[in-house]
Amino acid sequence: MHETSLMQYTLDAVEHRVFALQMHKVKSIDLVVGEMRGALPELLQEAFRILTYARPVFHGAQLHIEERPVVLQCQKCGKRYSAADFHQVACPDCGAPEYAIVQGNELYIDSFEGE
Amino acid sequence: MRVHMEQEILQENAHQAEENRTQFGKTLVVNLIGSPGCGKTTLLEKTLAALQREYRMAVIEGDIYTTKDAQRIEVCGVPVVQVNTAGGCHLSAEITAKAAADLDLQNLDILFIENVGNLVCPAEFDLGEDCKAAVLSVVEGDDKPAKYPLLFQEAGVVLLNKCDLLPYTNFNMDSALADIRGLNAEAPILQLAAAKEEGLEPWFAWLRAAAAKKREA
Repeated sequence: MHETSLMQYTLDAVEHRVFALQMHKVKSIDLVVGEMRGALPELLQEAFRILTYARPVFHGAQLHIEERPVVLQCQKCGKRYSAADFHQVACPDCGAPEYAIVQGNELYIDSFEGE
Repeated sequence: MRVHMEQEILQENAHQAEENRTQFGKTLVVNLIGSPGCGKTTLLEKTLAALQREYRMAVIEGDIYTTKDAQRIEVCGVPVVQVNTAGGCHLSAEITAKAAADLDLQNLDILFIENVGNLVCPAEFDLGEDCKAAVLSVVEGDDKPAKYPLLFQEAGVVLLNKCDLLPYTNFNMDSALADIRGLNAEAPILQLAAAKEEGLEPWFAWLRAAAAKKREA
């Protein structure tokens, strides 16, 4: 639901940088979005489409989203594993329930292509 | 030309949140997050009534529409600022800064921010609070921490509300506690029934300790 806000922040940040670099056009934006953040790629694309409508610098631009699935690390034996969800999580090797989330919390603008 | 940014999407919000933190000074700021109907406002009413003689408190009420919650808080006799997001599903650091400008922050011990009722989006936005308090009522189901992990990961304290209704639900407390513990090894998990004023003492004790820590920081 907050994808529109996220896209607004993204476009503001990229546009700021584009103008600082005296560029005039953005061709593509690359985002990295972790599964933990609850931001759906489809809705980010939708927000991108709508929010760029009135911003000519983004006309014709593509949005690329790299999704990062959640990866957990067992706090007992160090094994890295993925879990289908966060219910009854246990290490597949040693069975310990304690884990750290080592991937899936990402939410950043990696780069953009401009001219 | 490719320009590498490696910049957090929410960097602008994070900057404003840090500014808010400076403005808040020694006031303890608690960001209450939970679904519509989980009992955030009732919890606040009971908390304000119980701690009013000890602390100078204020509330920022975030709602999509109406001033109903602010009216409920107002009768408790503490300053309250209503923010209507008009469709927005969460508060941001900027909205919080504007609301906080209407409060006398120098003369406050505790500021509660009741976020828009929503288990997903508010968890994403740092408002400059000291702590996010996750409120989950047991009637919502024991599967919610696993389904909405971000909030429970981010929370500094977890409040399981409406525990007086446990006999009428299939809420599996052990399962919920284990799932929350997995996501968050640190946060205290408190079981209470705000409307019945049951189990509130540990919550008050937590607030007292957090307020003292903030004052001395």
